Formats: sequence, structure tokens, C-alpha cells
Amino acid sequence: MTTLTRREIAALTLGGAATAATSSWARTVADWRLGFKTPPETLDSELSLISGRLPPELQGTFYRVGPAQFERAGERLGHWFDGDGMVQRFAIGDGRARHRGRFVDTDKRRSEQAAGRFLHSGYGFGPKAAAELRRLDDINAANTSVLAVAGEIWTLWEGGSPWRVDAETLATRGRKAFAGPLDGAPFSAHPKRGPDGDVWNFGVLGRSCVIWHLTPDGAVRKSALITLPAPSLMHDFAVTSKHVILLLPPMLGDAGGEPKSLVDRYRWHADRPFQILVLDKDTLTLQRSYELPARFLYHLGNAWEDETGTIRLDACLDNDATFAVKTARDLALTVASTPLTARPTMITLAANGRAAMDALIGVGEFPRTDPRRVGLQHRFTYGVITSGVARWDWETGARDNFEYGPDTWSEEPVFIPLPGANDETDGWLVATMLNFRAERTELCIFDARRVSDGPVARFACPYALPLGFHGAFATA
Amino acid sequence: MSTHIFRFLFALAASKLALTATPSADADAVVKITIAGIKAQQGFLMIALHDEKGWSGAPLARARIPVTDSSLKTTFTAPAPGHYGIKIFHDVDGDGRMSTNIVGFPTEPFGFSNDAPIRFGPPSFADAGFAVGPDGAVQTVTLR
Repeated sequence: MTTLTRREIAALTLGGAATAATSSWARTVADWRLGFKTPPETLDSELSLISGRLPPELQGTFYRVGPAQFERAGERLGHWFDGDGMVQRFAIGDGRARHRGRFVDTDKRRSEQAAGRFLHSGYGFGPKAAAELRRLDDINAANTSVLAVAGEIWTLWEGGSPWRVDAETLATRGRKAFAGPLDGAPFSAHPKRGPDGDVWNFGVLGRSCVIWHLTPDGAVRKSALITLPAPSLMHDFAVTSKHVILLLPPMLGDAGGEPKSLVDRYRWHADRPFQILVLDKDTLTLQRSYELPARFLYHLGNAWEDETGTIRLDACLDNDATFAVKTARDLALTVASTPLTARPTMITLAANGRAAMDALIGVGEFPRTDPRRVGLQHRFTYGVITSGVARWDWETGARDNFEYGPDTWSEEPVFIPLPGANDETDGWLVATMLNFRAERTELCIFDARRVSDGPVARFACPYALPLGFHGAFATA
Repeated sequence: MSTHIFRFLFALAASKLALTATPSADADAVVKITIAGIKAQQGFLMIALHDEKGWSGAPLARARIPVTDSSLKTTFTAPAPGHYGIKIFHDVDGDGRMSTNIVGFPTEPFGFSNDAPIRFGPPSFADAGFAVGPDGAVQTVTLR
């Protein structure tokens, strides 16, 4: 451990002072616009090993996805979250790493390729001449996360259907059409696969929220439609062994007027609570609800509950929704901006109705945890810090950091358990990083026990990939 | 997004229908409607004529036409010259209701006068409304 941080207790009193000192990021990097450039349609290459050695036990395929189409017909995409998804596949093993990148051939992309211009309003971008929106999948960019299901890859977006992609060739197989009234229903980009292999997810549209429970192979086990107390912009959720937990930041769809895009329908309400709903996993009925001071969130690490019924979950929380509304627009439009302000925070939901937030010092996002412990007790969360990777220890408040240095953008680290081991840190982190100075994307493998030692293996792509969001590792 | 609006919009047509399409004989203000883009040769077209005040509410007149072709025609008689709007859906399964998915997006074909586009909800009357003069009006609605 290198940097030992002090925990802030009673973080309920934090107010507006939390997001401090990451102001100058955009000025320190060589040319950060590199992360928002449209790549060629297809990319295939062998990565070169820059340093270290790939652990021989580590064999598998690392998939990532992110927005990749940033301009058409001279029009610049107006929001990072609206770029057509491109899947990046890294085949890792035998000391080597090979990359393949392909766009997801969604209905949205197909129609815009044919038209030669942007047609669709999406999360935060409304093109000059927007087409109509007949169904959510008209604007589904399949650009946010990936889920390995039954030998194929589902690429996921905020609120449409999964798009199915071949795990090896990355050829698009088509939209995942669920049967009956679930066809075209929102399926969020943050499903949780429990230790039993079952997949849980939510999908939200206004005050309507679909809860999904799928078999390991992606068939619907059950679903429910619940009506939320408020039309909150929800991006992620959590599950414990017994409960589904919905987190409703006070970013509410009540803006009125004629919105050009989804996020324009929403307004931040600093005076309204951050609501948390706890549903029973079997009946999908509301068991408990909590109110905390206003916070915005993108991502959860993991949630679990103890024998007293107290639920603990860690989330990266922002003081408001500036990132979704402004920063992500600025980034896509290549206006310099500070990207990372969220702070890793432990949320405690006691059975007696009391709730508390307890934030770590310093920023962090893209939290990931041991996949064997989804819904079960966890101590560690891995994530990104500005220009680096971190492991947060929720028992001691310590953080184990590695910083790549200036001129880099660190992407989500995914934890891969060491085969046969059970300890929560027995494994590796696999993470990509954009090296702005060298103008290339690098693939880094860390020993999760000693993140601060730096990568045990570091590979370089011969090109830069656009900055992406989430990944998944499929063991060979 | 406006799923509730979709539900509300199409719930109208789901109510029990009096067949009020008027075989207009001598009236003025006849609206001749052609419905194009009919894909499945089954079920019924459910057509409603609204004025501005009732655009999000009850229609002035409704019709239910068996589908026999990929393009069909019908007429309504507007009560007087003025501005009106048309809502149509194709009740493919013949259950009398606009089918939707679980969050309320239509799963049966629909259309509006002026072929007004939907974005984050159904079109406004400003987009879908059309003038009916003393000589009536002609509208072609393409289902999608």
C-alpha cells in the first residue's frame, strides 16, 4: 500500500466541498482529443509487449465497448454517450495479446451509415435534422457495456435491447428480441451476474422500471414492471443475495419543453433526496426505502447484507449531474473539461430505516469487484483514478494506487480471479489505458494484491482506440 | 420518455367503438383519408378524428375498418371547417387495443395526419393538425 487515506465519517455533512482538486487534467495531456476520434471500420493487430511478462495462468478474452463514431457529414457528435458502439476484443494468452475492433451494426448505425449523416437524437445529442423515435432501439447505440452470454457477447446500452455479437469475429448477429411485452423494453447496461450464474437487470423509462431475472443463458426467468416514486435518471443498480436495490438520484424527468435528447428531459434537484428502494428478489415487491442527501451516481461496486439485515453497497457518487449534462458533451465536442469528480462511497442501509454515506477521500470511478462475490460480502473494490488504477479497501479505508503518469487516461480495470484461489485479491486486473503522448492504447495486467507495483505486463496497440466504458473477461 | 402519453393516446382507441365513420353524402368538410403502408393483411384499422381541444382526449369520430389491402381509403365528415388531426393504428391482432411492450411503446403499426413524426412522445397538434376548408381535405397517412 502506498497511499493511506483517511476516511471521512459522517459524510452526510459533505455538501458541495467534496469534488476538489482535479482541475488541470485537460491541460496536462498532450492531445486528449485522440480519445474522441473515429477509428477505421475494422481494426486487427498483434500488440507488442513493452514490459513485464504475461502470467502463464492468465488465458482468455477481454472485451470492451465504447462510443466510436464522433462525426458524420461535417457534424460533430454532441455527447460522448451517443457514439455508435465499437467492441474491442483482446485475446490474451501464451505471452501474447491480439486486438480486434468492430462496430456493432445496430439499426441506428445502419440507418446513419446509409444516410451519411446523423439521424437520431439519443442520450444527450440531437442532430440538426433528427428523425422520429418510434422505439427505443431506434437510438440504441450499443456502446456502454458487454455481457458474455451463452458463448456470445451482448453489447448493452442505457435503455434498449441487447445487441448480439459473435464472440470471436465480433460480427453482429442482431438485436436480442425478448418475447412478448418484453420485446424492445429497456435493458440497462449494468446487469449483475450472481454466483449462481443468473443475470439480474433493470431498465428504466420515465417512472416505469422493468426488473429482469434471466437464466445463465439469457432466457427470461421472470420480470416485473414497477412504478417508481419519481422519474429518476438511473444508470446502475445493485443486488444482494436477497434483494434488488434501486438508486434514484434526484435527476428527474420533469424539464418539460421540447427536449432535443433524453438528458434534456431531466433536471437536477439539489433539494430533493437521493432515494433508495430495496425490493425482495423473489416477489419483486418493495421492502424498504431510504432517503439520503442529493447525489448523482453512475456506477456501483457491489452490495451485500449481514445477518442483522444491514445492507452495504459501494458507489461512486457525484454531488450533481454535471458530468452527464455538461462534461460528457464537452468531451465529445473536444472542449477541454475535467472528467473525474465522483468519489467512492460506502452506503449503509440499516434494517431500522437509517441510512448513511461514508465517502473516501479523493476521486474514483468505474468500480469493479470480484465476480465470485456479486451480492455477497466484499472488502475490496477496484476502479480508476485520474491517470491511474486503484484498489479501495472498505475495512481500513486504505487505497492501493498506481498512476500511469501524465498524458494518460485510465480505463476500467476488470478483476480476474486466479484459478483455484479464493482470496478476494488473488487475481489480476486487466485494464486498458490511452497513452496520449505515444498515441496508442495500452493493455495492462496488474497483480490485484499489489496494484501499486504497477503492471506485471504491459502491451501496446499500434494505434489509439477511442475511450470506452465497460469490459468483461471471458476465461479461455 | 413519454410512455404514459403513448398509453393514454392509444387507450382512446381501445374503448368500445361506436362505428362513427360517416359515409358522407351531402356534407361539406369531408376529410378523405388514404392509409398506406399496411403490412399484415389481417385485423382492423382503428382511425380517430380529433379537434385541437381533444387531441389528447376523446375523438370526434372513430372508425374500424377491416384490413383487406395494403392501402385503404375512408372518409370522415368534420363538424365544421377548421383544424383537425387524425390518429390511426393497425389492430393487427384484432383485440381492439393498441398493443405495446411492457413500458408502453407501440408494437402495432400507427400513424398520424401529416405523417407527423414522433420523437420523445406522440406528435403535437401543431405538427399533426391540418386545415379542413369548405371543400374538405385530403390526407394520406403512412403507417409505420
